[in-house]
Amino acid sequence: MTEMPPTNPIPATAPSPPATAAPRSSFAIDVPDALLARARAGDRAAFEQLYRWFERPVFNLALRILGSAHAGDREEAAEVLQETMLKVYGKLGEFRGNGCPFWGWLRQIAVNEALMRLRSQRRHLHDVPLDGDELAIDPGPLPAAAADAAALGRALAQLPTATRSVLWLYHAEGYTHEEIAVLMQRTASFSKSQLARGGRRLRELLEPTQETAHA
Amino acid sequence: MRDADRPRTPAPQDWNEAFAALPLEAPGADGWQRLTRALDSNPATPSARMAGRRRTRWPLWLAAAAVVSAAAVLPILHRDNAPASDSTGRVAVNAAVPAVAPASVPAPGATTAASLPSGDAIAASAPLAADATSHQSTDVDRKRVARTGPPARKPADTAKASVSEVTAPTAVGDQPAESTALLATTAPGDNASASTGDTTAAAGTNDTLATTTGSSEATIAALQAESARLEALVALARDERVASASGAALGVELDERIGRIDASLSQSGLGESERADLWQQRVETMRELAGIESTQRWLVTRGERYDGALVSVD
Repeated sequence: MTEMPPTNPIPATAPSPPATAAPRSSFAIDVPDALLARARAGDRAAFEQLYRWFERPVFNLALRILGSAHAGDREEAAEVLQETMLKVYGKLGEFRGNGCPFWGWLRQIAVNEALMRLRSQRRHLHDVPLDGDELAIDPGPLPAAAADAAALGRALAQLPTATRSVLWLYHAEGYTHEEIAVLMQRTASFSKSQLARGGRRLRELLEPTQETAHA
Repeated sequence: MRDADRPRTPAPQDWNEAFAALPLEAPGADGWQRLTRALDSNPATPSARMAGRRRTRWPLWLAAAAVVSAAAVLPILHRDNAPASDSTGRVAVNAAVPAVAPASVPAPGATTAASLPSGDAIAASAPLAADATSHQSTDVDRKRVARTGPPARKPADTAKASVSEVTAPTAVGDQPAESTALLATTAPGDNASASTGDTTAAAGTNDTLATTTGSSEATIAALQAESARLEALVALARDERVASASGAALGVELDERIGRIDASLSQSGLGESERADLWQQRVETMRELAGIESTQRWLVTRGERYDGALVSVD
């Protein structure tokens, strides 16, 4: 039977996310060494346990990066999940820890897989990142609608893919701008600018304008 | 009142908390089943090898038929080969190989301890030649193996390491490859390179053969015997009714390759080393063919097809 995953504290040894104001990644699940050893030895039940624990974090990561507004996005996210788990299974023997928790290693594979698929998708070629004042800082508290998960999800889906990916990797997964730059084959400046512009755009989408308020 | 009963969750203070509060959507319910099928269909994954070991072995009827067929063929080969005193031991040792290989065929990529002794016996054919004693018992042969030095095991270890990367269709070929340190220099799974281009490995094999047997004729005889056993196994396993398109295509390609090798063997003026090379190639190609045909039959018994096994997943 599938066990409930253990509590998800952010491991003190995790290299990412950063220690201060660290977002609570859905991947941050401590995997017992014994379970990992069994999975590495080919125990299918042990690997299924890992799969069950991480299938939602991987699927949702893919969904956020690839988008969820178009038909077929869920299927693509499911394929990313499949590919990620296949790679995890194939590379289990290569995972040595060395200060990096298993969930961090798995998440990295998932991020790479999702971004690789993103780069291969033609429909994102014309998906232009947000443009604007790079130095503008996203001000003020969050709009109240940010607490509305459905509204926030819809607003995220409306963002350009690259902008949304930066936002998610930074805010939800705790990657630094430098790490995001490497992952997305861009610069840290690009990451910072997209973060600022994406935050402003989300705020605009979540806060009703004067026109919509009086409609 | 419902609102009063509902526990109040604090509003997110920043985007981090807002994103973390988003519920995780569930993927499709068939995700694990899809993954399992992909893992099982990719023979290169550890799961396929482990699953092969755990799965039900080949049908007993097939294993029994293979053993009976091999047992029926061997006396004929033994009589036809007119063994000399120095090769009798090796023929007797080789007799152990088909008795072992079919039993171990059910587990693609799996190795059986039973296969090793007979393989090491072939690697130790020099001491056997020196004995010049006819031994029909595999137990006696295994005792001889116990006296075999470590160096004879090294090619087998190398083959074993490379065999670990071999795909399921070559499982049958793996057993003899692992068991015959002398004959296995490259994994049968290395299709093109193993059978066509790996002259360096073949030359190395030949050097080992020359060193250990001291007689190219004896080497060729051993290869011919191995080839005949593999022919019998292919004849037993091949069933055109269950062949998949890709499996049949592979089988045709290997048949053609064997035909070319046979055509080369029929040429006059071939040197001993050239003949040995060609027989070596024939044995390796026959192993591949035997592996494919056997695996097709095995997959059919499981309701699967060979085409699925060819899907490569990164």
